[in-house]
Amino acid sequence: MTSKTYIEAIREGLLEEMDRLDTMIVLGEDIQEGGVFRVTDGMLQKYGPQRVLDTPLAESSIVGVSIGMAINGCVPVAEIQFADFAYPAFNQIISEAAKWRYRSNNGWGCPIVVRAPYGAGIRGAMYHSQSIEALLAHVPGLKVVAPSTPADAKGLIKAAIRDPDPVIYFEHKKAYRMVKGEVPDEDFATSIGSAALRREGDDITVISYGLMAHECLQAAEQLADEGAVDATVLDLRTLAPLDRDAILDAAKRTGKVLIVHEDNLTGGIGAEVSAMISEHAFDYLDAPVRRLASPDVPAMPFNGALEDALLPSRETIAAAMRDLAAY
Amino acid sequence: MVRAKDARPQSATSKLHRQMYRDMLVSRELSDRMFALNRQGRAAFAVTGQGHEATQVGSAHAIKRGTDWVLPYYRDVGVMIALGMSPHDILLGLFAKAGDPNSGGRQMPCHWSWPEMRVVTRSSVIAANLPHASGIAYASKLRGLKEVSIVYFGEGATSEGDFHEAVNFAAIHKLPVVFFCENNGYAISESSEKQMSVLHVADRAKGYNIVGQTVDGNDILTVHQTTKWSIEECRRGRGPKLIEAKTYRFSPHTSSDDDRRYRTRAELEEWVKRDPIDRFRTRLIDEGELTAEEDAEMRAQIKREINEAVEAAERAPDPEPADALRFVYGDETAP
Amino acid sequence: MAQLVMPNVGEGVTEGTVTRWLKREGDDVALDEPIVEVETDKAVVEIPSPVAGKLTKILVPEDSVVPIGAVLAELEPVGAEKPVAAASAPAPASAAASSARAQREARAPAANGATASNGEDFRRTRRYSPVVLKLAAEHDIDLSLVRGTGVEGRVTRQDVLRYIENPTLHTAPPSPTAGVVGVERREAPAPARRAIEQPEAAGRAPEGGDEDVVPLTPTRRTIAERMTASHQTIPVAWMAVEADVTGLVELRERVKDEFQRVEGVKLTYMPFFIQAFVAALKQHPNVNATFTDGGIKRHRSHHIGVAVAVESGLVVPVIRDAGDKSIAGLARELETLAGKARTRKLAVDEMRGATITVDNTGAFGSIISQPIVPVGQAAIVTTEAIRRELRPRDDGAIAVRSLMNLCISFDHRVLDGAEAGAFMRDARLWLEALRPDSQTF
Repeated sequence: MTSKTYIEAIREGLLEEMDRLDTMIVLGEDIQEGGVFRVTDGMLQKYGPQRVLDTPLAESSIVGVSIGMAINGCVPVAEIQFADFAYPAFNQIISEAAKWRYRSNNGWGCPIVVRAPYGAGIRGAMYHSQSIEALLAHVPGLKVVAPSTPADAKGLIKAAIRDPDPVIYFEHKKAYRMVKGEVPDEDFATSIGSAALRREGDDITVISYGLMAHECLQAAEQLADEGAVDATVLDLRTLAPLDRDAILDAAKRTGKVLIVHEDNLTGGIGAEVSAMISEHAFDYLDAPVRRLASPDVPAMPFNGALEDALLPSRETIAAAMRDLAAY
Repeated sequence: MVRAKDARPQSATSKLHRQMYRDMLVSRELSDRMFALNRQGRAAFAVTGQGHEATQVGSAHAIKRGTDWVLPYYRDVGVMIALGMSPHDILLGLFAKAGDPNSGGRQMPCHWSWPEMRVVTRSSVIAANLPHASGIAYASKLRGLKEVSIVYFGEGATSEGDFHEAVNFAAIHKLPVVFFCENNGYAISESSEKQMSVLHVADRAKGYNIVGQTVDGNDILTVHQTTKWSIEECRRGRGPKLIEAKTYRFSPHTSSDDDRRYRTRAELEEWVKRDPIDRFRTRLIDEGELTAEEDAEMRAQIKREINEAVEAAERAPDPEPADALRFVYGDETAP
Repeated sequence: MAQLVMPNVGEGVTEGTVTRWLKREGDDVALDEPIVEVETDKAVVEIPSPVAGKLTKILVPEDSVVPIGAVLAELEPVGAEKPVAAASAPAPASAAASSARAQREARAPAANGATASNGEDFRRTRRYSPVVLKLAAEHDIDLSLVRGTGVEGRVTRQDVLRYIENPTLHTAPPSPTAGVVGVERREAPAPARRAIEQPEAAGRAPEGGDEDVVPLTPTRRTIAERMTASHQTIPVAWMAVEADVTGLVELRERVKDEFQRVEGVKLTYMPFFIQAFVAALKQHPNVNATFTDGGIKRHRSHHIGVAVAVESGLVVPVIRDAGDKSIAGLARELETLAGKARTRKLAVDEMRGATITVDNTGAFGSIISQPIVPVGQAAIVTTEAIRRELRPRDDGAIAVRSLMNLCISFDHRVLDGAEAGAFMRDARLWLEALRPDSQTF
């Protein structure tokens, strides 16, 4: 085990797979100089410009050519510079990649990976802070992951690269350098579709993912220290397909569920998790399933105080946890 | 098998020409039948390629089957026949049967997919597969393989962003892609002057610093030669090519289209007079590569073949409802 | 939404005690109208309303000590929009929280999208969550017996699990119903015996037979619940002392007519009894107290619950701050409250907050009683019938004396016999010190 930052873990995962697969290609804008966040730092020097490819500023074809590469024996890992800019590529992701296997009746698979930094809290304003995972998790045929820890970041990028289906990999940009954690030294991949139980407790259950999973865990530890609330904390890790067994087990354990995500409330991942729990664990519920999310505003404002007010914080999470425990 | 009456030895070229001619006839007959089946209420939808035979068959015969990658669009029944897909298989798709090799009845008819022949699955989204061709070609180049990708589309597709992004990418990296445009003058109801400000699609090539060629799409041999040259140039690493074949579609856009709303019968009649099949037949007979009797024999046989294929395909089993849940993911994770 | 805060009355005062709410929740208030009485080291002040409107929420119960600046209540100014409550834990309910307030508390989602809970009186409406019902079915539990620690007294899953593990520890106190005897709902009594059997449902008359079933009135039902809860949860001990009240009897004889003429109310023995007990309470503050898991809560004020028998049963109106009242004041208040009790005009506030109860059982001729300690109080005392008996005097002669028993039932978790005895002794001595010529204050 070695302590690494989130970004180091992702980079390492990419490097190890580049070494293992000589037809793996990373492509996107500014990839060669290391990428605007430096995820692909050093890769051009190691693997050359054919496998570390700077694309034109054209998101649709970044994904479109990845699809072509994937079906002709390469392993493409495309990067969309910010999730906020992924929309022109949605046609390729949703109409093409997601439906590739289904429409060909299993004649072909489409094993692409699309990475995108997402998330708020860095004063990125409206077009560098969005969370778009709910839009894509809704599409059958795609797998969508959002790791919160460095170990999961490395494990999931490897799993994504090895997966026979299109995987959308969301990296929280604030976590890059802020989150550090222990990462196994040996080769490993983290199962796509499996959630991680971060903490066990009998009072309430908190379900989250991404950077918010950290805030939830820390709020839970703080409340446990105070003797106020003893919470189970579940980190989803994969948003599609959801780990239904883990979600229901965690919900049934306490009967009180709080779902926390940074993405806005309506139609977010929390809505699906909540519906799942209501449908399949109704008899175990001791309180209505609650969600704590950003309000339904089009995107995060640039003004820092406004952004802070809109995002869930450790304080609002703790307050919501207390409230639910008292119900 | 038709035998020449005068027992002249068949040259390779003649063989090829006769095969091409045959493919044109099959394509036409099949197109007519598919349309009729729709009009008879036996097929929910039909999209066909009457009038495009020279363009499609001529170009397809330049492809190295099983090596080169082919990305045809929904009108390319002629390409598929030339590549070797049987009318029976095509009709399984028309009737949305379980045995439809393209999609098991999941896609509309003529949404081609044939992995063994490297015919790449595509959606109904216009131009979305052009970047796929560029990506495939990039992989070919990276892996040092001498394979070429050829992607077919109508002139309407050249307005889509994906056309420009795909050609741009291929041009930057000098990729082995032939971008083949079948310009029949109409994108559903819209004639070309609404679609582009250039006169010829091939003019766009200049914007990407690649070679663009305009050919008479109804002259099968010219199409064939042009495509052959382009493919071989790509194989030699000389960069992508844009071919524009000028042709005309006799049918409406699809069975859902009423073409009387946007073109005159007079215009249609003019082009029918220049039917590429008639044109090729005339040439073959003139050159002594075909007799009138052989032609009649061929047609009769094709008709019989297609009748049988229709009958068999229509009777083939439908997919099971449970099948609709399969193949969302490769590991068959239940939806 | 406007707030009523504990004012800074200056002179270095840092805190005050809320002594009396002059308005109730839901009342209209005029601008500057006094809403609450607050006592500081320096003075008792009335706090006027900062707005004209409605008193929507009382946040601090009486007898609470709050620092300067603390929010005491919420007001809705006239013409203001309906206030949006934050989706946070509710403020602790004051004693005998009315269900009306619970219905008024409409909770709205907070700005960050947290969904809100249902603000209803769960105990009263008997709503249980799915898992609670499931556990109850699985373990054959009567949920009305389970003590609820959730919001508004809701029975939670963990409450049921705790009850399964130890029913005696987690049995519910009686649920408050609006209007009858006020009980501190939040005080959770500890060990209790599980109820052996439930009484037959009221109101169902059997066909024919020997019995005559009288349906339970709300008062009766409440009394039944309260008495059962007390019996189950309070370990009670009892003692009696005998007081020689010859002097009191003669005193009263002497002054009663004049009293009636001057004061306009009858002079009974009760004012004297009350003053005697209050005097003793002042010496023995543990008797003026409530048992809680967190400690013995000693009340600074002396609010005497006076049992009054009315047609529908027993009601116990409360004389607040009896320690401040004169004989005349007590007499006046007793008459007023008794009158209201008989005509069923007692307000909720007039029936809650008692720190000790005095029951004049002597009125029925009882000479000795073993009263039931009201839940939330440490003791209840009775004043038995005054009887004339022959007793030897100090000088050996036999004299006719007026004697009466004073009995006390007390919560043995709070008081021991010695302390109770000392309290009773002091009350007795106070009464015995009265002479026919004593001044009455």
